[in-house]
Amino acid sequence: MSDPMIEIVKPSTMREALRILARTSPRALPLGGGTQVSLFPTSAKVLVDLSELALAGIRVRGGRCEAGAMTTLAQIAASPRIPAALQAAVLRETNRNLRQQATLGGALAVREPGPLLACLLALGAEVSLEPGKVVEGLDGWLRRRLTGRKPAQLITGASWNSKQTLAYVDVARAPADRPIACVAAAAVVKSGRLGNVRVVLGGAGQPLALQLSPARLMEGVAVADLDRTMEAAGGVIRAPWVDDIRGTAEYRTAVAPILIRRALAHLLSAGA
Amino acid sequence: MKISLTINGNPVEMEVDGSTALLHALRAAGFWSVKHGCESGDCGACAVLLDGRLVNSCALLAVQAQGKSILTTEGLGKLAEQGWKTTAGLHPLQEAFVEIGAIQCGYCTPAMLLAAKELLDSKGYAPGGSPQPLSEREVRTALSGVLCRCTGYVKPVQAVLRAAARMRGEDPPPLEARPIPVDFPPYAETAPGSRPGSAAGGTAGALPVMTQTLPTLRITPQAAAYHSVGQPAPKVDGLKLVQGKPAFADDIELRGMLVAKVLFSPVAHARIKSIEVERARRLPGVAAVLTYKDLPRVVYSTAGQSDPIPGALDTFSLDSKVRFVGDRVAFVAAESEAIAREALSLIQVEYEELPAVLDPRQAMGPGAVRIHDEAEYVNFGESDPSRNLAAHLDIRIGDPAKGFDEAERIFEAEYLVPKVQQASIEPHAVVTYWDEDDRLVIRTSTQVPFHVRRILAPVLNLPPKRIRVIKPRIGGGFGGKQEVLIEDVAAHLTIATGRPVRFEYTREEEFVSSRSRHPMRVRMRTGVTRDGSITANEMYVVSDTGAYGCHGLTVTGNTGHKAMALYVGDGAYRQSPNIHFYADVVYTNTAPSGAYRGYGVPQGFFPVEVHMERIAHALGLDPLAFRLKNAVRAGELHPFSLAWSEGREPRPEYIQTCGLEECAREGAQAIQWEDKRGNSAWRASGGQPHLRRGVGAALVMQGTAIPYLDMGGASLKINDDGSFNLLVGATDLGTGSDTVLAQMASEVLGCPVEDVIVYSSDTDFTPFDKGAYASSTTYVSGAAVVKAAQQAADQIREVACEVWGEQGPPVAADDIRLEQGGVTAPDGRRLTLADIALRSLHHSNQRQIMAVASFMSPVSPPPFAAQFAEVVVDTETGQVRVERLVMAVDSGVIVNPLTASGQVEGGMTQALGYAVCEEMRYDKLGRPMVRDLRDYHLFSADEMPDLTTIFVETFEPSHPFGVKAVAEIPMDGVAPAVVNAIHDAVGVWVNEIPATPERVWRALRSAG
Repeated sequence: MSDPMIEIVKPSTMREALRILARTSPRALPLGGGTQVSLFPTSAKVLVDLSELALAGIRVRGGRCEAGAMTTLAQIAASPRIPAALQAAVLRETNRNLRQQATLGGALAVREPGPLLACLLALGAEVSLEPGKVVEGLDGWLRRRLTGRKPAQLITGASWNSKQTLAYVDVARAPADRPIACVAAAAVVKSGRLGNVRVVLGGAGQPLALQLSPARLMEGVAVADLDRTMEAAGGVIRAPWVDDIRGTAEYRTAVAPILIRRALAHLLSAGA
Repeated sequence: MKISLTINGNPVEMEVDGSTALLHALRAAGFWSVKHGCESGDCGACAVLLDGRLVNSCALLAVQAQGKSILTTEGLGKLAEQGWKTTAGLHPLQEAFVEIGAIQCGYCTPAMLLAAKELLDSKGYAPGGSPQPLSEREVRTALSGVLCRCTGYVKPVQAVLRAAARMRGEDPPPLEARPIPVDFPPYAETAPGSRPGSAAGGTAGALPVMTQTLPTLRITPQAAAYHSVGQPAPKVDGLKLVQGKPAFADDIELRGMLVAKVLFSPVAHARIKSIEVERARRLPGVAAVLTYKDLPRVVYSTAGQSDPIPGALDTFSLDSKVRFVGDRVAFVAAESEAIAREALSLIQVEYEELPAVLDPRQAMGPGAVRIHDEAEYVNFGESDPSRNLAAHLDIRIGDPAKGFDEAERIFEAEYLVPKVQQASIEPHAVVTYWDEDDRLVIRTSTQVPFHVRRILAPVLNLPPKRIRVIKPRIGGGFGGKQEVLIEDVAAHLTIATGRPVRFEYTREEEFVSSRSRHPMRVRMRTGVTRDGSITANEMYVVSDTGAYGCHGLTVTGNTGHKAMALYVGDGAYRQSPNIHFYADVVYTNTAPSGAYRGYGVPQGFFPVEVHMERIAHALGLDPLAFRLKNAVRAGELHPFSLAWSEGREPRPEYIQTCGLEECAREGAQAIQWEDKRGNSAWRASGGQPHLRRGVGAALVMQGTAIPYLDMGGASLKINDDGSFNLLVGATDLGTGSDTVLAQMASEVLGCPVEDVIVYSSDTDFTPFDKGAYASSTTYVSGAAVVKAAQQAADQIREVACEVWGEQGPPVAADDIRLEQGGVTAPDGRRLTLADIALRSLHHSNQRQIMAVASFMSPVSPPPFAAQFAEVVVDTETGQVRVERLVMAVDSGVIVNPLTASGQVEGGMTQALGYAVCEEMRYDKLGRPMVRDLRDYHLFSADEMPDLTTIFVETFEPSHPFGVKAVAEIPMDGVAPAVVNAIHDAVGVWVNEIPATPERVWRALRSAG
């Protein structure tokens, strides 16, 4: 049972927020859109409302796209600064109403695998953390489990190289259903060839799997090379798929190369 | 803590604790329009505008609303006429939702209105703005966060577009039924391309902006003369629903009301060795904890059916044994939900686990663990708990063995249909309390109030006369509320505590512990001649009823009774069809199956219609022509009518009307069947090399009520102003039945529909009605209403005769016409109904003009339909996108084209989920794999295919207005039409639904 005596504080400065979050007793948790905290019982006694910390917004600066932790998924889906493929992925993440509430910071904090994190991982996104203006790669962030015993870190945003091209493809039971399997692929496309390729496999509730070995085979690939490349890459695609209501691991394994090929074709088409 | 905010323009202070969701805070403050549909933000029924932004209040803490402004539907607009006071009136959105028929159950309507308001505000429709035109896509996107299980979104989208047009100063065309006389030649195969309007190019691209607000209606000559029947009358309950009034079971607050929770079993099969509840009982705020030790041991069935229940009695309110994950273990009543939850956590249960059997084939095999070993078990028919058989059916019509001997080819195949849930957006909800006469009042979201009273009486040890069941508005049922599912929980706790108790399922509890459609494994065997005459048709069904047998016999019986009745054969076989239907209804350790719209028939038509398609292909015949050659026709005996009737004595029944051939022709023309089917150029027009288009069809039939069993009553009385109170036991669960009943009364009484005030239903005040199921309300209850209205009309004529006899030449009663709110004599003299009412109630020879009537039908006239689907299939992944659904249906005379087409659109949408994505499965321990709407997936407004509805009227002579059923038949043909379309697209057969990408991919892979 959740304790009804939860205190909500709304700090006006980052310093104050971090001070409260650093408390170990009573335990404090950051409050973004509230879609997670309101749904699940929490042992926290203090919720730190981040709405006045100016953490919402998207900008492109110095070749990087930066999105604040309090940016809602709806804002990401609607922003002209966001790649169309990432917008499409966000639409797959959850329904419209929740997109208007849920924040990027919340998605990063919860680490629930899905289309959004797959795209950010493909983009090689970095997570900005306070205190200390720490920047950590999303890959490392997703692998790191917060134990609660370490000093609390507050997600302030995420950023990625805005010069990349991103592609997102998936397969689903219905047009607006969360995906059975999805592929996010990012690359720099020059002269019709792929460079700096990053490919991520995922799906609703499926572990995200960064495809390092297949990506190496895709470096320098042009449209004419796609079939040959996928033939070679097929044998090294690895993902810890699990069976669930949407499909089996066997099916996901089978369609992953198809989706990757389509994603690469999209990248080459978009970069042409 | 105290928060300050603005709600609907008024400053409000609320005392909330930090963990309270905004939804609960708003409802506790009396904003009942904000609805509970889930706890995870998936359904959107709880949506409100927070500083102008649509958010789901179940997924937001109340404290996050501090200092903000909230708009709920209560603040959107109110009915203008409030006695001596006039308000600003309804918002144009509210008016359009009522006018267009965008409301069915109305549970999600408040949230939809707010979603639309947000869109309009963003497009300049707020006061002082410059309104921009809206596209249908924008509207669909705006509504996409609010799930509707009733409408298919067609009419809500149209309502928003219509309201926006009005707000821009435009004048959208009025709603008018556009009847087209029934006049067309029989179906005949035509060569592709011979019809105008080539299909080349397909319908790819953006969803079309729809301008059609009513279905195509081919009207019968008899119906053309009606003034009220056949009109698109607004729903009689539309105004209250569009204002978000507290109309539903849980929209009530009683002093001292407790909250109930149930401890559900975490194991699939076990005996309860010990159960320790003292710690829970001692928890402050807990009023009662009940286990099987506390309750009388009364065996019953939860199936909401007439007496005697046509099925085994195998259920107890609480038992010492649990039979599925989600079975009941204990009940708790506490001062708050949080306390009740904590009390559940303090109950210690020691289970002696038993082997669980999850596969029905294993369950009825030798050596399987016995699920029902209780001494009190009451058999029905051929139920045999020692073999885990809840029921067995074996129906032979004609001589099937001879028919197979005479066949030139025999086709056999096996098909699988899944367990799916009704998923009404309003969960099951009940409030119970003792009234001042020590009678137990049960206010419940039920389709069967009278069955609830009868079935619960022995369970509660109360005579029926001490139970009153009130059915307020129902937020969708679809059969899920034809079950006495949770009423006993609250009732036992009210008896235990003496206090009011409310109990409502969470969405997870709905998936874990509620009822659902029977999954079935179906083997088809069909003999045919080379020219396509069916010589014999056989179906064997293994039906999984889950842990309890509720509806098991009758649902499975209908699988054969309807689906196997459609094809009788041709020539001599038409005169003497050979049909064999047999089934085993098997207990397993999974959540019980039950009633779900279609009641076994969709499970039957998927295999039948895919099988027929396969046979037609194998014989090289046109699939529609092959079907129509063998289909039953008007004037013929319903083949099953002499063999089976839901546990009652079967009696012969002739089919009086059948518009199947016309439906096939109309539907085929609408979807451009001949141009598209088998057209390789069109097939490849998906825009990508791996995409293939296909088109498929299915023909279906249903029934209308259960003959010699279903009965409905109606009571009618006149008021001083010439209006009428119509009291019916019929249960409008969002279907619009109250409205069509009012229209039928209006037709007889010659008064406006709005002068018929309908009340349904309350076991104390309204006549008996068996409830809302079996597609019977318009037909059975409607006939009762017509009879009562005719009696009242006769009394009105008598009064008119008295008046006119006193004033001049006498008038014969038979010559008096009831029309336009009054009575007219042949010589032109006229009295209003108010004149009649005042005379009869106050002035002379005083008596109450009133009538009570009931109706029971000796027949169950089948509606018929042709359903079509157009799909795009990804040949590499198996993903299927359904782009268009067409349904041409013969439902007799259409009383209200708005509500009837709403039934078809909503039914097709549910059937679409059945076809492509919805299913409930269990892991190897019997634990449900689906526990929320996110994984289950209901179609949302922004992903719908184009839906087309065509009504082909016939006049059913067994009903005074010629009606037949419409509510269930849309469920029957979508899945086979989709699967047949997949075959048309990619040449593979998918024998199991839903046709998920993986199943289609496996079929493609198997085909090489």
